[in-house]
Amino acid sequence: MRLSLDEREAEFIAEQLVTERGITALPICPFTIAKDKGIEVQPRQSDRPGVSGFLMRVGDQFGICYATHIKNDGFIRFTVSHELGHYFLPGHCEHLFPKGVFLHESRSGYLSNDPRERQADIFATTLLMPEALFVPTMRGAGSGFAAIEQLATNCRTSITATAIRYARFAEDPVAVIVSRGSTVDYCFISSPLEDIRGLRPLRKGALLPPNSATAIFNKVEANIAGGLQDGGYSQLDNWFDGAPNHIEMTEDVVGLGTYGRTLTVLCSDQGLPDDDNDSDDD
Amino acid sequence: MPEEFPEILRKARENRKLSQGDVAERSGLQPSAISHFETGKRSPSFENLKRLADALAVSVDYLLGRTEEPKSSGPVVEQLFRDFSSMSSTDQESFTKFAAMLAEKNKAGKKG
Repeated sequence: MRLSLDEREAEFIAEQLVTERGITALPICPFTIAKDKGIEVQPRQSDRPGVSGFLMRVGDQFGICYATHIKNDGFIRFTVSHELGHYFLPGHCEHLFPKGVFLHESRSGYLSNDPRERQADIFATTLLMPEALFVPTMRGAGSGFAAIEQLATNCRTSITATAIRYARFAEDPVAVIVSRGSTVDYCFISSPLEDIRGLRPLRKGALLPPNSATAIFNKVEANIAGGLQDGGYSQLDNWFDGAPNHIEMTEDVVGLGTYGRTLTVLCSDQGLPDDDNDSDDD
Repeated sequence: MPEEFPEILRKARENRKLSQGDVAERSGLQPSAISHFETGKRSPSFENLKRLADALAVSVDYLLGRTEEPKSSGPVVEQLFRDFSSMSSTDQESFTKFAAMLAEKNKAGKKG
C-alpha cells in the first residue's frame, strides 16, 4: 500500500504520539488521549448527512463530537481518532477554521477526497494500530479474514479499518474493497499486488465483477443492513485488469450495517508465481 | 496559516525577551521547530499552537492574528452564531450547548 508524503507524515506523527505516551499494549484508547489533552469528547445527535464527527474550537479550548447515528464501537473510536488527527497534524488549523469559523465537520472513513481528511484517516488508523504493536500481533493472528477479525478484537477497531491496516503490512496478495450496490467506493491493495506490473487498481465507481460473491450479496439490502457475512472464491483477474491468470483468492464479504456499504477482503496465502510477479511486457 | 503568524510569534517571543531556545524549553518543542515557525517554513498543529500560546502567555487567537489583545478569548459569541446560522434547529441546539461549555472552560483557563 503506497502512501503519499502527507499520508506518511500522518503515520509518523501518530506513531510518535504513541511512543511519547509510552503506550506498549493494544487496544489504544483515543478517549484517554483526548482527555489528557483537555479535549472534551461528547456524542451528538446531528442531521448532517454523511458527517461522522466534528471538531470545535472556542478560544484555546477544543471539543470533539461524534455522530450518534454511528452504532459501531470501532467506528466511533476511529471518528474520535480522526478528529484528534486534525488537532495533532500540522497545517490543519487554517484550513479547518478559517476566519470566523469555529466548527469543522468531518467525513471520516476513507470516503473523502480532501487530502486533509485522508491525512486524518491515516492518522486515526495508525494511532489505533501503530506498526510497532500491530505487526507483531498480526504475525500471531494467522492469515486471511479470520486474522483480520481477531485483530479487530485486539485493537477494538472496525473490521474495515483493521482490514486496511492488514493490507498495509501483508506480505501476501490482499485486496480490501468497500462497495455500494454494483460499484466500488474505494480499494486498498497489499504490496505484492502493487508490485504486479500492469495491474490496474480499482477506482471509485468501478463495477464489481457481476458473478462475484460481493455483487450477488449486494443485491439484497438486508444483507448489508443486518451485517451478514458470505464468502466464496474469486479469480484475481476477475477483479483487476492486468492481473495474472489463475490466481485464486478467497473472497470474504461483510455487510457494514448502518454504514450502508459492504466490505470485501480478497486474500491468498499462496504467493504469486515469480513469472507473473516479474513479467516483462515491454 | 495566516501570513502574519511567523511575525506575530517572533514579536510575542521578543516582547517577553525570550530566545527561541527559551520558548522551545517552555513549550516542549525543538528549537529548530520554533525557528521554522518564525521563518514560515513550517505550519504548527493545533497542539503546537496551544503549547506556544501557553509558553508565551497569549491566546491561540492572538497567535493566529484574530485579536490584538494577547490574552483575549476572541469575539466568540457572534462568530459562533454566524457559524451555526446554516444549521438545522436540532444541530443548533446541540452545538450551542457544547460551545457554551467550551467557552466557559476557555474563560476559566484565562483566569487561571
